[in-house]
Amino acid sequence: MNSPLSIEKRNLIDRRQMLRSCGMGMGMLSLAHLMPTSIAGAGQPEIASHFPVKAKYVIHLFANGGPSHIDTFDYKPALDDFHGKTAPTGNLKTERPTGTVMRSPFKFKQHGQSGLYVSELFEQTARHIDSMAVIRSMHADVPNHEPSLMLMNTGDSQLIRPSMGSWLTYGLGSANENLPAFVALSPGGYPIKESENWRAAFLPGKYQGTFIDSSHQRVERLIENITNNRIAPEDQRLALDLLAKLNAEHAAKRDDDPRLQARIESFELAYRMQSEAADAFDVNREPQAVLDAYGPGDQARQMLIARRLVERGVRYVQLWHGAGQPWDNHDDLEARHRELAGQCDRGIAALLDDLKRIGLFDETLVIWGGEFGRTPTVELPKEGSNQGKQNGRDHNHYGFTMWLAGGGVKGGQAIGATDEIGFRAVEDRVHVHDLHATILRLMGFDHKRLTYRYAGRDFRLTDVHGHVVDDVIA
Amino acid sequence: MRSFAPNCRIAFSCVAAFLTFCGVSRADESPLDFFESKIRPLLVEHCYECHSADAGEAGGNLRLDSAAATRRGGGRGAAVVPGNLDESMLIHAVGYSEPGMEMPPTGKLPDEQIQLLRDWIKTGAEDPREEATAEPKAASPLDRDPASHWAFVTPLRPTAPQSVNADARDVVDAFFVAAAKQQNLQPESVADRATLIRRLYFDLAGLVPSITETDEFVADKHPLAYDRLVDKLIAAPEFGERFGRHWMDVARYADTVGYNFAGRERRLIGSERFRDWTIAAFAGDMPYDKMIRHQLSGDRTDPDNAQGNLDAMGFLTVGRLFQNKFDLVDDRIDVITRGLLGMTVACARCHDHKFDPIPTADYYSLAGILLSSEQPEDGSSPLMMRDKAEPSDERIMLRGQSGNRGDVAPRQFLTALRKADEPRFDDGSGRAQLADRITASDNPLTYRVMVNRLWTHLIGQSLVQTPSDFGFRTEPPAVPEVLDELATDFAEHKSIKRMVRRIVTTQTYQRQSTASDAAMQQDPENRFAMRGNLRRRDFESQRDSMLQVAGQLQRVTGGEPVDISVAGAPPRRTVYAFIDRQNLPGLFRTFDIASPDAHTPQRHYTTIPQQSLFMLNSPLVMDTVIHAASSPVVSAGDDRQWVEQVFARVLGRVPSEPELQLATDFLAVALSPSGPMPDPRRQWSYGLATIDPRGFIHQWQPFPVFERDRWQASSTYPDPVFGHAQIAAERGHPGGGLGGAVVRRWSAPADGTVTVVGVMGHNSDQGDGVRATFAIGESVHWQEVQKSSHRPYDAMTWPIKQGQSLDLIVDDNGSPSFDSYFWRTQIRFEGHDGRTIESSSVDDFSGPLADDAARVLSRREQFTHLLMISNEFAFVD
Repeated sequence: MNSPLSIEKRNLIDRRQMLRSCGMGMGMLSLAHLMPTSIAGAGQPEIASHFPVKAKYVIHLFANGGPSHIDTFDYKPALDDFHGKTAPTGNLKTERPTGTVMRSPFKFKQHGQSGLYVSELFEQTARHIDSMAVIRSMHADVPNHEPSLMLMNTGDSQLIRPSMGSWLTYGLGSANENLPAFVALSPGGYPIKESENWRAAFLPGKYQGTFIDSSHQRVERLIENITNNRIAPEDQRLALDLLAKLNAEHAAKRDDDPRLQARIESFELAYRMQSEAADAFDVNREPQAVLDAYGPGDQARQMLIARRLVERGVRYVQLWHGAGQPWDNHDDLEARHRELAGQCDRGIAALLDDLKRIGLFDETLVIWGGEFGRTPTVELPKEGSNQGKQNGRDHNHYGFTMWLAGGGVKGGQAIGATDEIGFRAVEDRVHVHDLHATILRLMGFDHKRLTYRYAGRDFRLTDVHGHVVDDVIA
Repeated sequence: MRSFAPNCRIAFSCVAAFLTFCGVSRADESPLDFFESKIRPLLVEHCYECHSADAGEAGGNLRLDSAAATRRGGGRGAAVVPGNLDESMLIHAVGYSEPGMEMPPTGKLPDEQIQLLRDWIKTGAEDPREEATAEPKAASPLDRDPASHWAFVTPLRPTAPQSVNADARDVVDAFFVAAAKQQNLQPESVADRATLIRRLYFDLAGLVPSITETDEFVADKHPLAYDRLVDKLIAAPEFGERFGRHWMDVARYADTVGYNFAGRERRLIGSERFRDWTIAAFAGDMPYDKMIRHQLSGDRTDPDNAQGNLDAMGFLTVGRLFQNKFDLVDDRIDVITRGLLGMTVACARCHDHKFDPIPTADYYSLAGILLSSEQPEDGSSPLMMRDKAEPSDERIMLRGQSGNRGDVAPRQFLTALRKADEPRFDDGSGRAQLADRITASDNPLTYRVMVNRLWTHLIGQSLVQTPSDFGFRTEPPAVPEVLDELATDFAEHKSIKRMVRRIVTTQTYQRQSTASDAAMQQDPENRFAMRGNLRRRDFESQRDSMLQVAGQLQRVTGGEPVDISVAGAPPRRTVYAFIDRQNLPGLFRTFDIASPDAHTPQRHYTTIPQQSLFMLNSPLVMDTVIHAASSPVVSAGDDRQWVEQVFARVLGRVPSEPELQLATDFLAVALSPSGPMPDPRRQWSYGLATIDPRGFIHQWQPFPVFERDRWQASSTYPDPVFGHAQIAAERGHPGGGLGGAVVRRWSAPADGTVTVVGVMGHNSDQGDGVRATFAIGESVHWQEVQKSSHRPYDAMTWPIKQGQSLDLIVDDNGSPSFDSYFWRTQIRFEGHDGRTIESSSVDDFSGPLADDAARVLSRREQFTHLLMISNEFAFVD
């Protein structure tokens, strides 16, 4: 079991040993000493924190498609009373026409000391309810996937803006130069909007999320160019030693220029990354008991990968449930939600257990939610999509639920509330911008001061919006 | 962008709940209490963000943060007239009864709150708020005379300094030296010939000189040898490709429209026409004003595309396809104003520019021009725009919100650059007139901005540090005369080649890039240009130069873009790469190519290990290395001769004695006996087998044909003998009978154990299903019939010997219909020799692999590789 600190220390020692074993003279050593700061993305944070840092890493569990809050974390007994009747709130305008109120097909019960209600879909995750701040009054701007994904990820539904993961890696810097600082995992392919979800936009390209299809199992498929089938590892080492000497000759004839040294060092980093990345993504190296706790399947594996990445200093890991928009259950909601939750509930619970076990829970912010929730009213059948079915729910941006757990989060509480059937957030409403402000706060940043100057002005994740939800913070 | 509500959402909901609970004002409440408890919070919540002293330029000149200001009102009259609802504009605004003045713009207030406001006004509008003693506000940039900023004044040709250094080749050199003298900086001498030719090839062609060219140039004693070399390079087609790509950064070029809703075409039809037009324009030295005219108004300059200049309008139309027309227009305003003028007009979409003399009206003047233009479905070029039949002006959108319109913004040029009595645009959309104004010789920005871009590309350091922002906050260059000298020259002649030739023939361009420590410390950014700048190759130059020294580079120009990110990619110049804006290949992002999402003023140059991984391991680089090492120039001979040849070929020079020694020592070491990690795809083979009833293989033959992503018995499908027999990555289909079983075979490289885990199944509920077998040699380890099934299987481990294979056999189980199946399996091999190999039947599935692709690199190839990825190759002195 490794704490990040011990890994950092180990890397430092590795670096020294490497330099010695490469047979480089003292001149090289002192040059090498300069390197960590000259390498892009290494070590040094880009922006000094504004507040004490509560969390250093983020694992964002993105239930893409829009999970139904009223069937998971926002218990609404009144749905039973109004089942088959007109919604007391009236039907708010969503993407498609909806009809009468539909009760939740799932059983809810209270969990933990806090006694918060969670449905049977997330029965195992609910073991951690006392560590979770459940925000039941989330709201967004429009009932469509594309703009809502953009809003949730970049703070703007239309314009080209950097994603939250890019902002945070820009602010925090990398904690492990051998791995990308921001990783997006999705089994089976892209979510809709694809790489726009983790784009760096006008921030430097190194802050862009690295997408990995987590249905692959081998590191060569996970990280580009990580292995070489034409050069033996021992021969590559020998060649790199010679390259270092040739590059040192080249540098000696020129003025000190950090770019020369940075590029020399980056080959050594790449060399180490070959083994480090292979190690990070190989969940088979986990003890059997850990593998058993997470269970089988793509979701479990990618959650375990996320833990291994965070443990190695990756700042922001975004886990998409899958390609497309799996949680978008306009019909057959009961069966589909049961299946989807069945794929991830055990893994989420195991992930939280595991983070607690290795002492990283307090430094890692875990976020769960979709781009919006779903309507309490049943979606009416439509030719060509849910024809002949009245057993699903439409998109709902007026009110939905997200939960936060881990670093700096005050657990065991519900924040805000939707109306009696869960259509619209009415109490302590939390807009997506407010969520962003709060997340940045937990990571040590004032969302108004984490800025980047581009095209003549200072941009920020929350644009001109956003209020920190103080209640979330422990 | 601002809007009303977000800052107060949380508090608002509390107030709303409170109000709902309390109902309207109670009789026992004093007017003051009523104001404080009901009205003030409401105004703070919904109005102050825009209508208060704190909000800066208050929306509609209306402030609602004091009693006096509220009664005074804004442009449309008093907001509140005590006792008179009809005359109180506030009531009309919140009632959404006045088109264009719906407030708050984010959504109508609940009826209870509107009723509160009505009650308040009816009962006398008690209001204790005094005039906020607003702190003296920073002067608006609109109040400052644009002519007080250096960049907004047409440059005059500066007079040459009185004392000119004797060896100056251009007045620019004299300006720099004179200014540097003031700083006690000494000029460095001119670089040696070998350095200069490498520098010129990089800047003007993006390539490297051959050693022959270098030797000839070094030996050429003719006084005009340098100028001749410059002329040769500027005349070569590679010049157009090099500078064309620079312009593509400005124009946010891509070959796809970006995200498009499910199933809709993403290819940006005709994008390559803009790329090819750009390259041709630079190669043919099209005057810069003409270039701009074609790009903005090709529908006027070449309406039928007879000269291909209509394609230039891709400058406007190769951007991302935004769903919202205002976002589309925003992107185009940005590329025009930052790209051509160095003005950040897009900042003025929602409010007057915070720093520059750009009112919101300017933004909507340009928006009106673009919204009066359209992209016809059936035009002479897919990239063209033309004027709409009925052009019209736009109204300003207050706070950028489409439902919140202000004054009309006439279609005209930007305020800061417009003459006082200048007529508005009246010819069609006004695009052609906009092009006139941008290209006018006295435009203070256009030629400065372009000269600064050219300078940046050639010198590696900008005169103006923010190449696409010449606004109020932008400092003049360290030596302003240089920019003005070059800009006036460029505005007069408008020839890019002339300007490039002028810059590269200055002594300033030719200086060596090394300098004393003192000089480095005194002018670390080299703003006085007393030395050259060490530069790292951009991605295009790095890749093209590697292909060039390998003898692979194809010099074909133009045409359909090619995917260069996949193995076996055609070795075309990188400028012809297919650029998928939506999912830019990792390779491009890794090497910092310009983001195709928006205009790029300057590229980032990062150093990250993924770049080195690409250089060390990528099959693309491996392929190039093998070509380089096998090319006839690098022939046999002893190691010393060979090393000299490869240095000459890759680095264009002779190795030093220590380098020769290092190289020959390296070549003498035997290759590691363990060899590289095997390519896991090579452990797999695919074939047909005859089996006995228990599942043993009697006879096996590999599938001869790979078509449409699957192995099959012949090019005819179904095959006359083997029927539907085929194997694809995840799926397959057996042929008929025991003679037509299909087999996925994994061969063990050593003795050890093999563990399988995975899932197999069969989709049809018709027929009799298929029979699946795991066998090693003569041992059948697992066998099941699958019908309409989805069968995950947990880990099973069996011993295996070197040369044996694990066979995944599927037969038809008796009848050959409805036998399509799927099978995914993971294999983990643990050899007795200690090695572990993992493989996936899906990830490692492949068609035929070239024999050569498995070959291990020789020492000589490894050495060639090192030189190609060395710093000496990647940096230009």
